[in-house]
Amino acid sequence: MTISRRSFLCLSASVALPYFGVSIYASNVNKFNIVNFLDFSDSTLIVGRCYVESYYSKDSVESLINTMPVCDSIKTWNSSIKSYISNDFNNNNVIQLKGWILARTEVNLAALTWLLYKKHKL
Amino acid sequence: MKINDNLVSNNQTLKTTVCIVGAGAAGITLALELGRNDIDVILVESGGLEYEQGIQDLYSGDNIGHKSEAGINNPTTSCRLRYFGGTTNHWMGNCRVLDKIDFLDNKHVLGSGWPISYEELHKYYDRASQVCQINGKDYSPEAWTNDTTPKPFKINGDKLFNTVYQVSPPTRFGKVYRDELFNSKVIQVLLYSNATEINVSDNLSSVSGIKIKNLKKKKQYFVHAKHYIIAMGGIENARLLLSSSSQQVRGIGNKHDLVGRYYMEHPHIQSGIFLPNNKIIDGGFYRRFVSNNGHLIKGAMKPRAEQMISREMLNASLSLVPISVSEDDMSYAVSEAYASARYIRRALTRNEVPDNFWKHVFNVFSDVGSVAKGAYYKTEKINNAYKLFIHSEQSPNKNSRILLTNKVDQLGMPKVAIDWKLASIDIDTIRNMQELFALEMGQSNLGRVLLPDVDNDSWSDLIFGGCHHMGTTRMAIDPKFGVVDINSKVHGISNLWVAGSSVFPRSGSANPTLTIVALAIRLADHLKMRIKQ
Repeated sequence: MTISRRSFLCLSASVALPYFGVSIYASNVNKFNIVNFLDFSDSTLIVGRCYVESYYSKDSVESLINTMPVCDSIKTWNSSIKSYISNDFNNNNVIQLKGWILARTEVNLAALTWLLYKKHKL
Repeated sequence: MKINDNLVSNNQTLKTTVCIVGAGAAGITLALELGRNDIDVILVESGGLEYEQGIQDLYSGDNIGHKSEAGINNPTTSCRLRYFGGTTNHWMGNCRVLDKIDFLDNKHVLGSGWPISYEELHKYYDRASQVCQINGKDYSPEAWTNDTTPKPFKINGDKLFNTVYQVSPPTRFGKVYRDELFNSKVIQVLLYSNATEINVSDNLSSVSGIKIKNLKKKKQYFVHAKHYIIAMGGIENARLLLSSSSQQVRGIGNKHDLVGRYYMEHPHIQSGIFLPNNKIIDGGFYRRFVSNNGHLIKGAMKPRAEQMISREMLNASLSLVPISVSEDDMSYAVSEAYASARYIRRALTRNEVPDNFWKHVFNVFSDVGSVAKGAYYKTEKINNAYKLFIHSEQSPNKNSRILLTNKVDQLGMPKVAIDWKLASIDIDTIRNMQELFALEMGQSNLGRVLLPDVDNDSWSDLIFGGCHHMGTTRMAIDPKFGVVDINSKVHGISNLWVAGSSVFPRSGSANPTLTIVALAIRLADHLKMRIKQ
């Protein structure tokens, strides 16, 4: 499996400006409502699947969710994710996936999306 | 003035105050500086005023070390030019000062550090800039950009910094300064004159004369001077010292077996792809462009000193080459097969058989799809990504060296063999630079970087030299560690100096010409003072 340029660009966009196929907004969002913030586009799923398959990841949905920021709005989620990614690059917390140097957070996010998709056939 | 070689008879001795061997950037700068101070100079040049194959062939030698794309079989002849003006006749013109860290003795770089300070050399860069026809010594992007020029990436991290290279017209020293040299009353230019041996006094402590051979006229003559400077380039300086062995078996200035050793290049590589987050992000700053004041400039990124120390890496410089890549799958662009195909193609265009030919052919046939994709997208003119172009510093390495062979040239001088050796720190520096760039682009939300599998053997084959030959008569206070002292005088010889990049004890990542000229001016100032005394 390869990560295409289009996939990559969409992943980048999904991190910065998530597209909410299921636009649910809740005031008291806890970590398990994170599903509402995820982008289930093909691009994210490809990257997530690529990571899970390449690294035989044993990460569970729950453990990946625990790596994500706690937010109650799309806006704060966006800025938190961007900040997490920036920090990852700053701290060399990156992973090389099919040659791409990606932040751990963005890879986790994609992997989480893929695992949820696979589990629930979203 | 120019001396007609017909007027010099066989076995004649010419006398002067300073004899400079080699009319390239260093030799011409020295002659101008000394001549302007009414010091008698004979400037000896092997070639004439134009390129001649017979003279150029005197350079030919073997390459027994790292085989590079730039000159797979014979970098001795492909890089240099042997006529008036020297290699500046095909110089690209990139100029930059060395960085402060380049002068330091870093623990992770064995044998590093200059015996003179950054501040000491920087005193001469202004004058060197004038000689190289560039505009001062400000290398900050702000000095060269405005709203109408390409701008550097706004980087948030602390890993890299933006800088510029100034681009000389480029100055063809042999043309720009020809009239002044030929019209000078104190400078005599001797063309078609090859220095073949340095003779020393009976007590071996000073040079008594230089033997010159004229290839065309089949005659020899001698120059006797008070002071001698060899300025023939990083390979020939060592060659002349080593081959002057009739009185000292190891050659001149080679008591500690250092002449020819510590041969350094600037390893270059194009590897890895930067994909901007959007099309607004333009990498134009990192290529050549016309600056806000009309000068030609090239932007680059360099690692911060703290990163170099913490990562135990050498200095490096990164620019970007626009490329067109497939929308669907970019993996071909960093595949081993595609790299091998490019490697073979470049060698064949030079009518040379690449090193490890069959290995690269096998790579190509094992993944023909990637090669085909690469060929297809190369024909498209849409630039939507950038290839990372890195040129880096090489660590001083005693085993990387210039040797004399048993073969001789038409003048009877031993030919050279270049044994260019790369150490693990040299390879790691390139990897570190790629990684720092990837991290910086991610942190600054500018894009992502695709890197090749760095463990494959083919990758190091792609490293080529920049035709920057340095370090073979390195500068050191202690004769046990260097050939020349802090004034570029050969240790143990009272009147022999070396000019050029062969004296660099550490190269940094900047192109060497500006520093060669700065050092030549410094040496000229030193000699002026010494001659007056």
